Amino acid sequence: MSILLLTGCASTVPQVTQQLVMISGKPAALLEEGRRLYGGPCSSCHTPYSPAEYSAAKWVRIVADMSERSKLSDAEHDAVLAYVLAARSMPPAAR
Amino acid sequence: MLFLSHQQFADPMFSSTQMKTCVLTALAFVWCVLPGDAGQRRFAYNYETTTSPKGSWEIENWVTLERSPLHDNDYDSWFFRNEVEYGVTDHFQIAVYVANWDFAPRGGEEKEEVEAEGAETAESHEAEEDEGGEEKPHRSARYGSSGVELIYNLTNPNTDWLGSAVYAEANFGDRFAELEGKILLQKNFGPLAIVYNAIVEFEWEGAHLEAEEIEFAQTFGVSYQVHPNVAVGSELVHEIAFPDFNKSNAERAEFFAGPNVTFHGKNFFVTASALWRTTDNSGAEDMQARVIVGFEF
Repeated sequence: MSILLLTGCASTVPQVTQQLVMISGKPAALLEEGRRLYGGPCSSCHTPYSPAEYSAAKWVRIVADMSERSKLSDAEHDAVLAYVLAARSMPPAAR
Repeated sequence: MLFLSHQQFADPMFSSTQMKTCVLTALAFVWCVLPGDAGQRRFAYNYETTTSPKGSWEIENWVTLERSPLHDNDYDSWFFRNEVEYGVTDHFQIAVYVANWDFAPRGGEEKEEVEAEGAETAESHEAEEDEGGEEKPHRSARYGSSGVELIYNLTNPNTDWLGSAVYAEANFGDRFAELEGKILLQKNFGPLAIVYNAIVEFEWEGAHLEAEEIEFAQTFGVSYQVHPNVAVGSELVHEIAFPDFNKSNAERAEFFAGPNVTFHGKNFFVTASALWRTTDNSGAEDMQARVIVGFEF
């Protein structure tokens, strides 16, 4: 029962894999920084949402809004956005 | 309390209705005047391993009710904390407890002070006893202590195998001192958060801080985000105290369990938890409830 429960709650902050880097075409360091921010400072204010939960267009708006509210720099904004867009483009089985 | 004079604050006749009015007024005031976005705190009796983002400020106001096993409101105790929190780095936060204070029945320590005041007071006590009525404790509001809290995040509950943090707290008042350390553990599985805290606490109380005690406690909590703004779950507290730092004086272990809920808005969060005592220990409170209201700015 507990295994089923935990499986159903898979990580909403997937790791940066080679596949993720290849699919996104973004540098691994940028994606790692985006993951660090998304799973760290972002999640200290709210539970991180699964990247697959929203469309790419909606993520652009969400990240812009949240960056302003949490005073992220442009570089941090770009890293978070690159990461969530890359993660949402992964096939479900690879997330 | 913002609107009360010092004399009113210390007045033993200050009623519980006035107390509730003041608390609600203070909360409403803080709610209305502070701008900004709030962080999320899912638990009232557990700490999470994540810390405030660098440069963020937060105000938290705590209210804790400890219900007397006598089921008489006159014996219930209310505890309050006004806290300011700051994210020094993304992994380190500091909080200042501006004031820990309470509205509670006053026990033996005040009686001793009253007796020391002399004949006039003694006569008034005798008159009260002559009336033959059952003597109820009077409750009054009293400042307890101020303190500082430090939390250092070691690993992240979302991106690492297990989230962890270390916690240190020190409180000092005119008749109270406390040092507390915690190990915080947490794991998040998407919307599900599981936390565990291991706690050791050293306390000194009394006019000369002569009453010593060490307490060990552990807390456990689960919380599931059922809506972007709402999470519900449960918390458990297990504690055992050793007066005089002596293991042969161990008090009976107490175990509390109950539900919690948190609402996270744009400008604030409200977290509430109510825990009932599940162990048969007639000396301890049989229920405790805590509400924390936080604002980030």
